[in-house]
Amino acid sequence: MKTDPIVSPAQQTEWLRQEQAFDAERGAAGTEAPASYRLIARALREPLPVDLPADFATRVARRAETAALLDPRWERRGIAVLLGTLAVLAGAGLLLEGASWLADLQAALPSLPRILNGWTLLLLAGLAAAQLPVRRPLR
Amino acid sequence: MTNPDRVLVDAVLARRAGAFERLVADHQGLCWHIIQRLVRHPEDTRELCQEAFLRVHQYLHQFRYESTLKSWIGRVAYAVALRHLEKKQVPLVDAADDGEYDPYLQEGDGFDLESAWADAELRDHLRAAIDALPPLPRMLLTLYHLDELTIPEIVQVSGLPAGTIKSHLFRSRLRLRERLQARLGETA
Repeated sequence: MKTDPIVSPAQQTEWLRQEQAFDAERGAAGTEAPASYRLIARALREPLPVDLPADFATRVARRAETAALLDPRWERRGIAVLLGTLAVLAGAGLLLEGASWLADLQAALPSLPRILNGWTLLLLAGLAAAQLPVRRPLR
Repeated sequence: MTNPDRVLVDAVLARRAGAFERLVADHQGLCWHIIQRLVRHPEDTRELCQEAFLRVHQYLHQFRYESTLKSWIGRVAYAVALRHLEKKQVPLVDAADDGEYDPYLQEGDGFDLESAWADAELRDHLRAAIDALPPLPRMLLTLYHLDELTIPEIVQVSGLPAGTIKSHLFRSRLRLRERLQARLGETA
């Protein structure tokens, strides 16, 4: 489509008539315009019934406020706080009980069945790694 | 003098009670006009109006006062309706609108405005002709004539160049005039 279609004198005259009709229907005094364009301008100015519920604004405001509470940014911040708290607790537990956990582990290791030798552990680790979800690059 | 848009936006961003509700109430008419003229289906229009205002609430912190709040909200509504039409594969304009157009320009009309307006059948015919226009020109005519937005304001709402908007207004008013004259010719 051409960006400015109103180039010829005839088109400019027609545009002027359309605009005069628009002005006349908006109440501009002394404006001459063809009756057909005035009729069109009048029809175009007829109110368009807004078919929304009377409490539309209240409902939408309530929904928007609820949606803001569930904003993913807040969700992400909450998860970060939770993970941070868990890390601090784990660190504190390790500091307080770490030595005794290590001693218990060392005591338990020799009694583990022979099946859990180095090669079996390696195989299990390999299988576990194969099950991890692979993150594909975004296209 | 305080910018009323800034006062309202600041109140919404500060989560003051009733502020967003007022924003919706102030602009729901324009939002309805834009979406209804593009989509037409009343149920879809209601849902899309709601979606538009939820987006306005979500992104209001990004409003930079480069346009009026009214134009910015209009732009959000336009984007929401446009995406809906794209999903439904509804064309915004007629393919014929893209071609060269050489209208037959006539001089006078030869009928009385007030008696024509009093003719309910003729008014219905005119309304039907407006409704039959493609979505984009139908919306542009409503923004220009009913909401009295200027062409630069419509540019801000639609993102279309001013020349394209002027072209749609010109051609669709010509088309309506042709239909009206054809109708008057039938009844004469």
